[in-house]
Amino acid sequence: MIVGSVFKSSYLVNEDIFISFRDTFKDHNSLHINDNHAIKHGFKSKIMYGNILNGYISHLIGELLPLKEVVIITQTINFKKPFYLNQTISLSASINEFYESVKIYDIGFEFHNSNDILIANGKVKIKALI
Amino acid sequence: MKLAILGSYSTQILSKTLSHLNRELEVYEADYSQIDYEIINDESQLYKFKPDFIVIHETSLSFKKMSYKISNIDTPYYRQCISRLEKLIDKLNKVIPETKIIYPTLDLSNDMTFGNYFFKVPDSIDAQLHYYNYELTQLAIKKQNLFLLDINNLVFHNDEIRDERLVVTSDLHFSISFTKEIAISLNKIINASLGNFIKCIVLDLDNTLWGGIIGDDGIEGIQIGNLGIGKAFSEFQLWLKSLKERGVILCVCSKNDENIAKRPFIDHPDMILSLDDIAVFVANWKNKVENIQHIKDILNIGYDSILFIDDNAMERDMVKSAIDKILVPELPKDPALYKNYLIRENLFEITNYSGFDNERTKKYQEESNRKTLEISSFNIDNYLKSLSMKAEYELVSKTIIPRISQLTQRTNQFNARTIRYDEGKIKNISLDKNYIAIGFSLKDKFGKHGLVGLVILKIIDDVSIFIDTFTMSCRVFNRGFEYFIINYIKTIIEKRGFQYLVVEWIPTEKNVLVNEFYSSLGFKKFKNRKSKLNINDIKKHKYYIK
Amino acid sequence: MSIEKVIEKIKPIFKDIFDDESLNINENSNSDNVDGWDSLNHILLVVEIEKKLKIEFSAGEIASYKNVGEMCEAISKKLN
Repeated sequence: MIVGSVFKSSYLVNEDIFISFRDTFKDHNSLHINDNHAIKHGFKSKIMYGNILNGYISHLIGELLPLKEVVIITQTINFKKPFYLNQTISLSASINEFYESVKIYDIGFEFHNSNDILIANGKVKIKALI
Repeated sequence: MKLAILGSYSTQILSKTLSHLNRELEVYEADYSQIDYEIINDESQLYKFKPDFIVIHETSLSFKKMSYKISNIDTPYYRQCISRLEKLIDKLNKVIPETKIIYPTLDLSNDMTFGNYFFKVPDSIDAQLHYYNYELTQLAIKKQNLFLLDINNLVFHNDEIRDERLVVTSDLHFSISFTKEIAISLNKIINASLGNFIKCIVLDLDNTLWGGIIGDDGIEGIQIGNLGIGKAFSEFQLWLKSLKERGVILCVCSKNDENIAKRPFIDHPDMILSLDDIAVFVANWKNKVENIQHIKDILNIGYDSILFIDDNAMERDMVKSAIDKILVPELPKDPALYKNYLIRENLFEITNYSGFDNERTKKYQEESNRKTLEISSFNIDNYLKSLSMKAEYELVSKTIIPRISQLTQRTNQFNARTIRYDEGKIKNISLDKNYIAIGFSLKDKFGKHGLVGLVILKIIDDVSIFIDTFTMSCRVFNRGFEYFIINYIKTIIEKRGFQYLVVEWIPTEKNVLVNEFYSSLGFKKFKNRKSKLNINDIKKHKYYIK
Repeated sequence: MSIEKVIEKIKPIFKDIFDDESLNINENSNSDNVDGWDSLNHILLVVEIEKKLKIEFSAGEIASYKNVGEMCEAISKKLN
């Protein structure tokens, strides 16, 4: 896995995902629960939890990166635009740096919706344990 | 090499350009408009210089100017001009018989005093211009040392031929850019005369002689003749055939199985080139540099006489960096433009022709059957490292389902089980927890190659996982990409706790490669075509993706 | 555009045609005081200036300028 490698995946944010997140983390903020309330504030419908995206980062690292044992050290995310129920969000992550002595990878990522609008971007620093 | 330039106009720019183009030329430029004087006078600087080549350049402007000065009105003007030229050539042949004379034809620019009616008025100066040019062609047949340059063909391929302001201020009869084109053409004739000309064309097959890939599209699918843009390739083949008839040797160098590569030549009704037209036919999976070395050895000519034509920029670049002297034109992307691009390059000047040589092609074919391919010293590792290849991995999901499905439909050669999946099936696989499907794209210094590989893994039980699909586009063969993919897959499945990888090779006419690949990884004893290996036992192979 | 600016613009063209990186020209430069400025180079110069600055000289203008200063005045008018 070298600097410059790109990893991609896409995710359908469906009802199941939404409900799981809501019930696990118990965030009952009206913007996330109530369509009318969200519309009043200028959104299309209730907006999805931004932290779902962080979950997808976890998926990418675990499932696509060819590293056997890896831990996340730092993760930062900038939420640029809201995303909604039943949208397909695509993730593209690229390896920006590799610090060989400590086996740390700097990864940059971006989330886009199906209209290619940037939903969020950020960085994650991971360490390979072996 | 000594070149003398005699012109009926200011020839400084022509001389200067020729000197720059060809450092081996020592140029003598006669004084302004001294053609007759230099040639008739035995003691002239021209004869003292003892040139190997003489360029005598006259133009329609000087032709027309002199016509007002003639006193003899019984003989048509053009006849007087041709007589005069013939006398000059005879004199040159007497004093310096070894010297070659190059005389560009007159540019057929029309003063429009008769419009197009001049054709019906033999006495008109515009008609005389055409007659003179015709007489030139007859003179060129008669006089062995006289070579003409077709100015009007150059006009066809260029803009801005004449700059009237330069005619008026400096007696320059052609624009600077067109003068340069004339110089380039003159230089090609000179080089041809010195034996530096193209003797052999080495041709790629896929997307060069036909549209598509014979290994994947089959004989029904490749485009020649009326199918798709087949016409572009037919035109191209026709042109190549005429070159072959004229004595240029045609060879094939293709990355394909030999039998598959030869099929269109034998079976396709629209193929214009036949196997008989090809002196040396090389189709294998070795790199092209080695193959071209092999061809060169059989033909026993220099690399600088070989032209290599391939639509693939990477192949062109690889050959060009390994073999400095070989000529590798940068083909335009559109096949419809191949022929004209090569025509414009004017690569086939000769100064000697003894008629169609049937025997030579046969001789090379026999020679090539005898010789075995030798290992070259070309270092492919270094070249592939220099490509800076980077891979892209994508979990198969909604966005790429159509391209993934297409890959399973179209790939034939590197395809382990040749199972065709439509979009619906791919979608189901992407949602099924028992499958892991990953697409691979490749990028190198030439650009993005798009989706070129696919692996679909199916979980058998807690410790074993099966490669349901492994396909790779032939575009990325010979880079070790398949080993790169396997190495990646290995890590992914190890992570999830699997210990055994199971593979299956379903043999077809086209996918022998896969058997070799799996064997090289250590998969043996194909029982019911399946084979199982502990992940730790999978053999590592070098790959060229840094 | 001022004469100075025009000179700056055409200086690299002079350097290229005369093949002399250290060449310096000013308003008074002409074929008398610049080495190698013959009729051939003059034509090449004019054509190159036309191409690079996207202007046109008439036949009468091409050979008429007494020095670089006059040429640049004409060029400056054409650029406006």
